[in-house]
Amino acid sequence: MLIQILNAVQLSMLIFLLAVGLTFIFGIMRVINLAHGALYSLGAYLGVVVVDVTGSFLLALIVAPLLVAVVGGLLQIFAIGPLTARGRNELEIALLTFGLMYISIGVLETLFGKDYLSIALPNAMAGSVDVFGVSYPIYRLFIIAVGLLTALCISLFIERTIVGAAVRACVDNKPMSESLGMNTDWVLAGVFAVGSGLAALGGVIMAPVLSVFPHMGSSVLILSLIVVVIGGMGSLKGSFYGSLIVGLTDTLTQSYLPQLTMFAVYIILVLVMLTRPHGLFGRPAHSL
Amino acid sequence: MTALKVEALSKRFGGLRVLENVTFSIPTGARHALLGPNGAGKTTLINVVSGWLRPDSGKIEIYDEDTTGLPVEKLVKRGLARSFQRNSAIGDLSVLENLCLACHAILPGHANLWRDRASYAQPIDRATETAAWMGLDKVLHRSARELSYGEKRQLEVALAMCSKPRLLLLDEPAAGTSPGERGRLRELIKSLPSDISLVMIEHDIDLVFDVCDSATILSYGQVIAQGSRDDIRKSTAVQNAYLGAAHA
Amino acid sequence: MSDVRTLTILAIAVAGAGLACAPFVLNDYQVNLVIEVMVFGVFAIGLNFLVGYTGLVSLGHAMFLGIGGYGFGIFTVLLDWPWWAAIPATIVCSAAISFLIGIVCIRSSGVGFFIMTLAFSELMYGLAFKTKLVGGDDGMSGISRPDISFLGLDIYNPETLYGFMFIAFAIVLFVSWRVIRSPFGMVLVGIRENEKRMRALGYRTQWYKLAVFTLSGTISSFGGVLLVIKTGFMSPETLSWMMSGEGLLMVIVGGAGTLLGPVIGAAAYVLLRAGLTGITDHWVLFLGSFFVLTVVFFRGGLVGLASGVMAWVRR
Repeated sequence: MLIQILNAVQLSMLIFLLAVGLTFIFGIMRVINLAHGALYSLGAYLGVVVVDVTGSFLLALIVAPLLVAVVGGLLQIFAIGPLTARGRNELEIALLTFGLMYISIGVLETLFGKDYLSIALPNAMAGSVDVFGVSYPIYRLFIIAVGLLTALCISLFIERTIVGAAVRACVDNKPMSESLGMNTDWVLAGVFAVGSGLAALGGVIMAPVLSVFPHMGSSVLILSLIVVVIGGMGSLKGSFYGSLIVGLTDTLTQSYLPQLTMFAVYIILVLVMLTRPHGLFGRPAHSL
Repeated sequence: MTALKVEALSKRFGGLRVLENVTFSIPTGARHALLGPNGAGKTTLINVVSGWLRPDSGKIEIYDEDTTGLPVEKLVKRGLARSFQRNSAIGDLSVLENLCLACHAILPGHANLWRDRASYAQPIDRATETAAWMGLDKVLHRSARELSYGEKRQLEVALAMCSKPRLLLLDEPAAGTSPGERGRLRELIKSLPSDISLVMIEHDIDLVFDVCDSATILSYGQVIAQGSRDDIRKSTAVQNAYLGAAHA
Repeated sequence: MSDVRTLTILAIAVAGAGLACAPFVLNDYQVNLVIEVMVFGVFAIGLNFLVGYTGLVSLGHAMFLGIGGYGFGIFTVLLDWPWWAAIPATIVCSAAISFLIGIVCIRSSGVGFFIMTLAFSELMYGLAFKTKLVGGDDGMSGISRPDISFLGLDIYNPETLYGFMFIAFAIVLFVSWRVIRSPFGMVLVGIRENEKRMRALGYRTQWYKLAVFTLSGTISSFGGVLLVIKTGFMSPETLSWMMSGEGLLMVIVGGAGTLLGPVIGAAAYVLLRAGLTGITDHWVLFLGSFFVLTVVFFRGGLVGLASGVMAWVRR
């Protein structure tokens, strides 16, 4: 049981790494970035390349997210930003990112083939440790730690720093923030970059545990989208608790109610939609 | 008979009291103005009366029927229609199609998936009449998006009129119009049938005093004065709170 | 307005004449492609009611292809019903399922709707994938085409199948045309442009959205029935996210919110895919590029492009 819960938390942390970027991008721009799963895959592939070339997993853990963060920032500055400014609505942008997702899958297939790749576990983290009497892989604990640390850093950053306050202001009321003289373009590019970087971090970190293949982003993306809806769009708290709910449900049904796998998460989603259409931590949008 | 009776109505947005204990009533056929500075709660009051927002407490009666908390769509059936501050006509459709949509909504059994909409004579006739009366007959087949600003405001009022209202709520019908357009709207509003009761938010004081016979003044969500046109004009409280600051 | 009308009449005349004589001039491979255009055309017409007319973008519409296809398979193979009973039964069941899914989905709008429909299609995918009775991940095979030998015709003859599909396609097109011209059709456009205004006029827009969701799901499910009649096989992949995206692409490339746009989009899709799979195995790369190009360059799709050109020529 304990092992299952640890596994569930580990999956939750992975989902959180994607969901947090999605939810902030949505909160500010009302745009859902369907290429987010592709950024995750891209991170994993870059990780594979860096490990191949240098042999250092630690380097991969740093380089891949940084590169993908740049890609994300550029995506916002040169594609999504200008198109939004030219009057494309939120759904058209979603379709654009949908197309980008396919393109990236196609590019990855062309460059790396459809085969499954992976990264060898770094030696330092290959073993297992004793957790309350059960033996558990160190590396999986490391994943949990990275997830929790990320959540902590983001919430401190958002609550305590001036840039974080700017992000909060943009989530709350973007036109108002603009009229107060805030450069929302930079906030957006920044949020996009950080969100993309975190998705890529998820990709690298999972590469030693899961296999790396062009479509790897799709299933994680769907889980993160569900988290964003369950937690409430634009809510940091929602994305964290939503990830835990989805991760726990998915892992625990897989081990204890296997006939419900693939369904349980959706049942929760439907229940949340029927009772709280704006998500657990979301607020209805200002209208009228 | 009272057309609209609002009793002790309160509404909060979070900690902000937008309406506090608002009470007023107007008789059938009245021309009533809601006045007050920006943020006084006028539009919120209209939104609560027309069912877009639920009041936290208080009671609303339309023609002596309790309508508190009824949804928008049901209030239309009770004879309430409203216009919006921002033009809300469907830009892709022509003026006639917009008005037909409005006339169609009050037709019994209007949700027909099979019949050609061109075969409905009655709503089309009423839409054409309304357009002629509102001075939109020359632009009948132009898409609503291509209209001039003044024509868009006229269409906004015309849409509300197509619902055959007994009680009509107009939210700043003349906002943003040129003086010429405003004169035209003023004549149109003055020509409304006398059995329709009208509640209007408007910042143009000349227009208000020309059209309306009574008024309620709101400030920070509270009623600070109400009465006939002449009472309001004389009231110093009103002049201090509102008229002095008005330069619309 | 008259531009659109001229264009529509012209397109219908050309397409109708072309479709009628297609089986006599084309070879079997080409006839097969035209059948595919009609099958996906029906699917896209259904999706267009939601996406184009009402402005509710569904990212999970492939689930209806699956509901229709598996439904027909279940009735004819598992329950051994004759085809003429199975088709209406499938339509009724898909309508009921669409209605139930619609109840949940219409509670959200915009991006939320997007994700809810995606979630339901993944749910359906999971169901098809895990249910051994309908073949699980192997899919369901051995679904026969309608036996119309009492007319002295063999449905396994490509020309005969073409005739069958042409009739089904024409019925769907006619029904859609009626609905679009009805008051209901105009209310849908009103909801797309300004739902608030429609409510203020007294329309109960939630009911309209539920109705159009049901209609859209039912038409697309009928597309699924046609698909399975053509292929005789249903795989969980038919319900995939990818297929939903391809459906959206058909609607948008053709021209969302027009009667014939989705059909033109389906034709473009079928021909492009047929052409490209011959020369490259990177279909996804092209699929993605089409999406990006459509959003960046021509928003109105091919129909929008055509009426734009018409307006420009007239000037």
